[in-house]
Amino acid sequence: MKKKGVKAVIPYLYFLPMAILLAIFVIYPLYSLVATSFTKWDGLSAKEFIGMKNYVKAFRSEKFWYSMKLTFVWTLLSILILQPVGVLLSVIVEYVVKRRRASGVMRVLFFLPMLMSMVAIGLLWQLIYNPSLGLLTSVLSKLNLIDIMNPPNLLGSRSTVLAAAFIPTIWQWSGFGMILTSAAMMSIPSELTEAAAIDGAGKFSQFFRITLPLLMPTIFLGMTINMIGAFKGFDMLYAMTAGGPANYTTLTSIFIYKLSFTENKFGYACAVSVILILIVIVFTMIFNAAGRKIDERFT
Amino acid sequence: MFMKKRKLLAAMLAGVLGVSCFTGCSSEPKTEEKPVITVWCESANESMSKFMEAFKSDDFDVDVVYYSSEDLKNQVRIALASGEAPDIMAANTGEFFNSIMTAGQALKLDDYAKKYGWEDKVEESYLDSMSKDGTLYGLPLQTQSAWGLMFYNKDFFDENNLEISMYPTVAEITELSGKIKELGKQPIALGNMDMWPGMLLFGDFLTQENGQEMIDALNDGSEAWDDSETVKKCLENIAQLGQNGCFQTGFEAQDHSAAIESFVNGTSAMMYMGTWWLTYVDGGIDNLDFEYATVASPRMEGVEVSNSAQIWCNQATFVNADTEYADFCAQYIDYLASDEAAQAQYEGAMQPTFSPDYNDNKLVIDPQLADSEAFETDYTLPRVNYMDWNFATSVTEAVEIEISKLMVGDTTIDEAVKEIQAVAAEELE
Repeated sequence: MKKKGVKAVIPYLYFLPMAILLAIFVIYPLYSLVATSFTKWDGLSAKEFIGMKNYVKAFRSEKFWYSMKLTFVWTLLSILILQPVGVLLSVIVEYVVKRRRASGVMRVLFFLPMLMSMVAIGLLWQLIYNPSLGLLTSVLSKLNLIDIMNPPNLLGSRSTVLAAAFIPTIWQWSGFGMILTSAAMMSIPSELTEAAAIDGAGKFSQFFRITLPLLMPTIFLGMTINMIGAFKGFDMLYAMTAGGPANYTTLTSIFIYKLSFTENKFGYACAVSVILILIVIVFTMIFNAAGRKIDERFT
Repeated sequence: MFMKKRKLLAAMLAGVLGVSCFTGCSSEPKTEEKPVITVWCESANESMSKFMEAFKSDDFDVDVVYYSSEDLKNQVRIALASGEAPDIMAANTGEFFNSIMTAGQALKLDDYAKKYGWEDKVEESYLDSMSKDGTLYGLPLQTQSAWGLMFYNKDFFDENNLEISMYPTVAEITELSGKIKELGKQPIALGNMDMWPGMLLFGDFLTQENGQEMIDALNDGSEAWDDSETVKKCLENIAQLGQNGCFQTGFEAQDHSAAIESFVNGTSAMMYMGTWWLTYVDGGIDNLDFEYATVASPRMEGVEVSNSAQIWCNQATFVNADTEYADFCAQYIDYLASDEAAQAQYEGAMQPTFSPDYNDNKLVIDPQLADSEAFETDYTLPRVNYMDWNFATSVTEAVEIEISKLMVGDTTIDEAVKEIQAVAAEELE
């Protein structure tokens, strides 16, 4: 009887190290975040409990909603652009480039930006875009495409800054989508396309009628990962624009950072973080549900 | 066979363990290790770093850790909140240092100040901002950087017969900028990505006709931002400069290092910057390819010499109230307040130091800078803190954002002051 009881406990012991790590690194910080969100705290003095005031303040704040609007735009761009570009790159490496070695080299080149530090990429592109000192101005003026006294001011203008700041994200993250898609492409049985070819299907219809539908679950997975990443997007954008000019690139994550470390409003920043986490959870659930439907439909 | 091998292995391990247990034992008496005090400070220039690290004492050692200005602020805050702060730190005066003093996290330095005579060794005028209720908590051990000035490429101006007055108005600067652009150069180099340069420009306008009393009035609410004609006038002048193309293209999204680079490499003909830019020139100011000269920052109509100036040693070096080594810390701070420290600071920064004695007797300012009447006058004016440290941080942030928008015409003066007032009112609550 006693032996049976010990046996029943053993599986939980295997789980214990992970549970402890989870409690220390996820559950406790989350609890602390939520608890702090109900307080007024400047990071130095004692915390003062103020109930829901921080949440009320956030929902009434134009700055918060503006940052949410930018975050949604950024997320939408990430969902709609990054993975499709990744698919395009994988088509290039898998189908267009015939030589094995050349496609290997291209795969490495497309993936290389993924290995670089986000901050380094932010600073690098800030310099590339600099109207007076940057590479872009230099190249465009050499090609006589711009007036050197009126160079493109992509990061300095409200109308262009978000799009300009997103380009490095495409450059960096499309390689990830490519790897994901390429791996999925390799797992598609060649019999399917060979059979289609025997039936007279050309390369184009083989891709759109067989390969692409089978890739849909993977593409959707990539989109979900990009969505979560976009909601948390911070380092590269902050290094490139610091949330500016004015607050035109202050995504919610940057808004939280500024509340905490510039304005020293840690309680308020925690409340905004909690709201952001809830939004990410809701969207992830929606995406997961949609993902299941896609799985059912295409596999 | 296998068992034998295991026994042999066990015996060897026991042997190794036994030997290692006795390695600490020796017939010589064990020497006691010296305590180490940790110092967190802003990245210093080479000569100052060398000086800081060269400290020698029989009683204790010093470990100096450098951070960039923004990182230092964050690290100090986090460390103080977690109770893991170093023995000596630096923090900018204003709201941040005030909250440290209020929370009792800085050691009272009055007794040490008397013992070491610090009040004679450092610029007395800065001590008020490092004191609370008559008690001293920090020392201003920085150089005295000035704003309120503009630098221009004298060679370029001379070659093209361009003239600029010592106290140029916004209208004059606007006209001059047009001419400079026609000659193929960018006008004023400015890097407002981090937005504080815009705030300091606001400060330069504010101090032309006003001083500390206006800052206090805006802080205590007796002067509302949206009712203040002074504030509106300052913002109008900033908007004119920005919208009339007086700053180089891209000033909104480049940092101040890029602005300095733009001036130093000749892309821009003028530069709005603190006096500390001199140390940014590779190989020293003597390596600059052209002669530069200095005038006052753009003036509002009818103003020449300002009422006050943004000149500041605005970083307080202070001791952790919980340090175990208060006496050692005071000893090290005294080392940093010495004449040798002032000399090291000057060698790296080429501008007035924290030490009145050094400034009066040994200071040699770069002649290209010293020749300027505007520069010389700046140091005689009543001093106010840099404008980005005068208000609550949320108010500063709001002013900076509205200035950035005004510079490119994305908002109006009335909308801007309304936004700022809303944040200031919330802060007062």
